[in-house]
Amino acid sequence: MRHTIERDDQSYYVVNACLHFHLRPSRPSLVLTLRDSRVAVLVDRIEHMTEITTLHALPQAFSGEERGWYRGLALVGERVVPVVDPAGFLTEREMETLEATSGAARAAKHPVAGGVSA
Amino acid sequence: MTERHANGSGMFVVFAIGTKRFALPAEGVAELVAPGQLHRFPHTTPRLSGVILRRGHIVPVCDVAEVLVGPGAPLRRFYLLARRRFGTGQEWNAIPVTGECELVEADLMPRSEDRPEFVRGSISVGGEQLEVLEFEKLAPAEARP
Repeated sequence: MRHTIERDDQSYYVVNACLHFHLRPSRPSLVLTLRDSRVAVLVDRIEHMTEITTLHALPQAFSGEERGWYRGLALVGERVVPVVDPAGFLTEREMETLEATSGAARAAKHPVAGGVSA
Repeated sequence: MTERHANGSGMFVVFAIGTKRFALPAEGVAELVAPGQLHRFPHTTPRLSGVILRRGHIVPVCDVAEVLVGPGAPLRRFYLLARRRFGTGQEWNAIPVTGECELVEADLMPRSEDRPEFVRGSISVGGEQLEVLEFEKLAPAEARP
């Protein structure tokens, strides 16, 4: 987490999805703010919106960090896609640390309105 | 697939990875699946290539070729669906294999001390000694909730 953004008097901690999921670096240009969360996710693009009616459990064969990243798997058209757990972007401990740090720095912080430099 | 016979023999599924052949106990094998779309997504579990869809179920693909035959394993065209146990639970995983499989009846000989833990023992098929594998030890994983 390297950035924060301010929106509607709320501070969001920006997580780079590429780094979070250990993907190759890209040039993300969109920030997704998550509902009921202080996390915003830096992504490349939005593909589409869809309704997911069935969530499949992540198979037990997956035993790495992904067990904390995903709620499960879903079928979207012909593709299997992971359904991300919003709570998986930052752990409780990380949030506490960030809250403590941002609280101390708030007096000297210059808000960045409406965007973030990648 | 049948249980072990009273005289110590059992049924085994023989499969190939490249030019090398191995076996799994038949009771832990479901079917051989033709190649289909492999669905990939980010994860950090070693040896998992992704998942396939089979009869409406999502099946993880566990590529153990590098463990068995080393790097540079040849192209594998089929998936062998084998049972993999996790503590008290179990699920079907797909192992990429080369070509078709064979169901044989054979006597299981004990593992030699110098062989890896994932080798349960060996069987003789057509004069060839084949290692019988234990899937859980071949790709150990601790599933967390």
